[in-house]
Amino acid sequence: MLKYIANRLLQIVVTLFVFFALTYFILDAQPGDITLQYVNNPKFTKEQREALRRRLGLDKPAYVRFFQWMGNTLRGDLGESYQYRKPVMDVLLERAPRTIFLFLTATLIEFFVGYWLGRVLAWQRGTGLEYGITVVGAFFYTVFTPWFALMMIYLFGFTLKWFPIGKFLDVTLWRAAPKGLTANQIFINLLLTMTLLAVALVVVYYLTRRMNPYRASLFRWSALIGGAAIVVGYWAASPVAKYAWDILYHMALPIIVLTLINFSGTMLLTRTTMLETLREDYIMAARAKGLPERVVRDKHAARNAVLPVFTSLIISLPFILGGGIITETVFSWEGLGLTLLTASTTGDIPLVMGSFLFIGTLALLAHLVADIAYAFLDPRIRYA
Amino acid sequence: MAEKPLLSVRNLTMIYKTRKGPVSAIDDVSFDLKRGESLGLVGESGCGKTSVAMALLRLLPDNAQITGGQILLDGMDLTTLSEEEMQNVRWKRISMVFQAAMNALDPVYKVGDQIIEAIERHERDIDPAEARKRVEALFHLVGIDPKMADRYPHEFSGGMRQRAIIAMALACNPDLIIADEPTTALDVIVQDQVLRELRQVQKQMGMSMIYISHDIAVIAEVAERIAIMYAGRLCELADAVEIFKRPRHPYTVALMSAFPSIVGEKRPLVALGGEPPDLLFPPPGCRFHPRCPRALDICKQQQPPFEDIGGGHYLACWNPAPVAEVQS
Ligand SMILES: Nc1ncnc2c1ncn2[C@@H]1O[C@H](COP(=O)(O)OP(=O)(O)OP(=O)(O)O)[C@@H](O)[C@H]1O
Ligand SMILES: [Mg+2]
Repeated sequence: MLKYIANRLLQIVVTLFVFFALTYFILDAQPGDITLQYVNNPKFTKEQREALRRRLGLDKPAYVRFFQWMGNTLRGDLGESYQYRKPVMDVLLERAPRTIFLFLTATLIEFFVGYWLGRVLAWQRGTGLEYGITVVGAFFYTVFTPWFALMMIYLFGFTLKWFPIGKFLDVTLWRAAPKGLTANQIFINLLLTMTLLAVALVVVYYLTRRMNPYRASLFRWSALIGGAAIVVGYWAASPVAKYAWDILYHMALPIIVLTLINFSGTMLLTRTTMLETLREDYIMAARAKGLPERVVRDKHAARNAVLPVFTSLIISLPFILGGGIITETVFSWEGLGLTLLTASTTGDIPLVMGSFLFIGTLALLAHLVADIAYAFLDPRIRYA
Repeated sequence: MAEKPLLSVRNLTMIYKTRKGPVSAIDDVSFDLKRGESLGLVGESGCGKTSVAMALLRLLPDNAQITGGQILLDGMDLTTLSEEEMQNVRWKRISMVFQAAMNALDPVYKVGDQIIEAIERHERDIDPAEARKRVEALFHLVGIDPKMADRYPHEFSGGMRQRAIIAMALACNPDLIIADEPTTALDVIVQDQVLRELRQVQKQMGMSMIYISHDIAVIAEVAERIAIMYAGRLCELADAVEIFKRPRHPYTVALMSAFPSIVGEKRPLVALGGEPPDLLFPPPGCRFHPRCPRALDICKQQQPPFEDIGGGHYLACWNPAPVAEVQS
């Protein structure tokens, strides 16, 4: 297993290198550069522009610049953003937690909602309920994402005013925030507590796997509810509760939209694989053993049906991050996606490359983690 | 006979509802099974053997419907039990070795745990250590290293999986085990071994057994009594020796002739033309008449009754083969 992980990490490094080289040269092939921004300024002379280009190193050939960038990156220096005049690393470290927290939460919710509904669908096959949910699911599966997101903002943000529009916090509230408190700290702490909760739940799941199904599910549900209560309690009691709440409140609508758009793929796939699994002989054997239907469904059918669903989640991870650019833009969520978009339209090459570095590394690491998790789900998989 | 049978199937009739109409998979099937007895159920592919097995456990697909008859287990009619009551009968009273036993183990759980699952289902208060001990004893009995209990199904060979399934079928010490083509997926040598072991264990533990196979040679080795099934109906049922020595139904005669005699007698080979009927449109009268060399007019119109012709030899035929013909 360790050897496998080491191998995969090496692969990740190679993939990233190829990926950076490609993006760098494609970016360079774009006409114009950052200095074009000043072209409309009459005081900006041709000589000044050349001087600026020289200062930014834009007069050197692309491959020289690429290897320079690569060398600096390996030393941990991502350069300075042209737009923000700050180290790229600072800009990105500030924005990454927002993206990770939003998409991690949305993906988890999406996956469990889709999986749970798919299970119900398979079990209710042939009923009006199945038909209704399938039609609704197919709608969300095919809907045009930006249009749908805008409609949701219009309806819930603008007309009904249930949720705030745009940004990830309320500026007037944060102006009064205690000195030294930044939104980032909250994001990072939220991420940490969520990870702790997730680890605790996995441990409980693992410890209860041999128990009889009723007791196991009792333990699991109490762990879930208890764990969630502790987390909520911890945050409610903390002095920054209202700031955390502000962030979560701003996050609600993007999460709802992301969940609605993505759950149906998981749901429809779960339904199909579940129906296939139900035809397996071991399901018949489970019934023959006298196990109640609920146990046959949850412990045997669903447990096996989750495998291909999880695989598809692994494969879709990079697309979730890619689609994040659209979501972040529509919701003005200043995360990695939006940063990448503005940086590439303005020709802020260091920031573009930095964003790609973050997004690419995140996607590949998530992929690796998911692959390792899969080995625990399916005993037939052995990484050697 | 004074002894009450363990299982008594009375005029069982079952159909599969399909878009094209009802498939008459079991029609008016009756037989008794005593405690400790082993019965073989033989017939061509598609004649309804698995359907009978599944009907006994009431594990039929959604489109199946038992339209008549009774399944009496110690006098209790299984066809009238609720689903919950039936769940208590499954595995505790009647267990099964599946036709596709190779895939009857859930790939994501350890084999031992799957057997313990069955034990704990029916003996709620059992101590986990004791259940575990029983699994190891069962593995020992069927000839698998007890350590294998902690392995996953994919780490088992075909023969070992089959043995594990047999161990699982024995786990709750049931009154009846149904073995549906338990060895078809195995190679011939392992087949023989497993079958003999199964028979031995069954005798040792004194449980009843129904062996199902399309191969009468396989059945001959393990069954005390043999029932011959054709197109959803039983045509003949008798002691194994009787069936081999004095088959009366023309279909049985044809089956026997295709099988080299165990007692060394020469038999004329009876070629059986045609195909078994489509159970969507079973022929009227005796279902075998279109292929029967001895068919009379009455066979085309009236279903022959399935009756005892003496000494527990049951037969459904208007024009049975004479006893002498096969003994020549
Ligand atoms: N779910 C179903 N719906 C409709 N027809 C079915 C269904 N299951 C089985 N049948 C039909 O019922 C008949 C009996 O099938 P069954 O599986 O009991 O036969 P079998 O004797 O076990 O055959 P084999 O030796 O191939 O296992 C067959 O003609 C089959 O096509
Ligand atoms: Mg069959």
